[in-house]
Amino acid sequence: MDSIRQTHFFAKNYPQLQGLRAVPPALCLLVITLWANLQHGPARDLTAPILVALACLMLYILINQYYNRVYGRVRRTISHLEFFLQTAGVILALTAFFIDTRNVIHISLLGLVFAVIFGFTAFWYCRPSPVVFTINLVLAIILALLSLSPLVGIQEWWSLFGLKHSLLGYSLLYGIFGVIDGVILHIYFIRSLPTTQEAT
Amino acid sequence: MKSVFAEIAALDKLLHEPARLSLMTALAACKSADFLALQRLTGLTSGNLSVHLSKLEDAGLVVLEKQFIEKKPNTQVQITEKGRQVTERHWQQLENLRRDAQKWQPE
Repeated sequence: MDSIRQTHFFAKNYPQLQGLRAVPPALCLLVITLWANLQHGPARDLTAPILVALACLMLYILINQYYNRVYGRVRRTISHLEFFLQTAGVILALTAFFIDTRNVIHISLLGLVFAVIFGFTAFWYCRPSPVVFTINLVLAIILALLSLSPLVGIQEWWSLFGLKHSLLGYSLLYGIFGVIDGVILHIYFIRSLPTTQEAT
Repeated sequence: MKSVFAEIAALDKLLHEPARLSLMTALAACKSADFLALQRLTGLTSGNLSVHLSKLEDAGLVVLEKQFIEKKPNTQVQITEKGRQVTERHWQQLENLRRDAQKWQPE
């Protein structure tokens, strides 16, 4: 680690920088979206998504144990602003999902909320690394542009990938981007930590 | 203006040591961290880390809590209020020193 400022930043955001923790939820969303896209009408048998959710939960527990055993535990101090932003993000995502299912507006609010989440991750957790910051920002911009694309006449981009609804399109993209982002953040995390050295 | 050398002499020697300053800076940024996490954050060997933590604990700047997690020993380290104040003051002194050193002209 180059500077003491980076030590401070890593101690402050230690669990958040352990990117693989974000992979199981993203993977779960990705697989369940693909499953939902295969359904015709209301789903009767929910065994498959429940099994996927359980498998992802197991994966999350394993990843958590890996980080705790190899990198140790840090209890974070969460600022009021961060807590407020995270809570607002959940409320906004639920509201956006509700509005998008009604098809009352042309643009996708859920896509915009997902874009904001990647933007927040970039500015809050990735600023010390220009590469990770740029990747998160690019993912946020892609999601934002796709969400606003109906305004410039681009309709139903998701149907190009065989998806049936815009919600499935944004959920799939969020899942894919989440997995990519988690792996990149993990690589950044393990490469940025200092190697053990002798010191007085 | 107080001379730059007097300001350097006034710095807390316990905290000014790079490894301990790094440890205190890391601990000031979180609620608590365990021994392994501090090792990873600072790059210190376990022996060195133990020695530095003992010195900081003796000075009342950190609190060490030994416990067992999944039948394995685990040491949690937490900065004390005194430790937090001392670290903040130290960083302020270093910042003042840096500012004064920029203005300083050799006679």
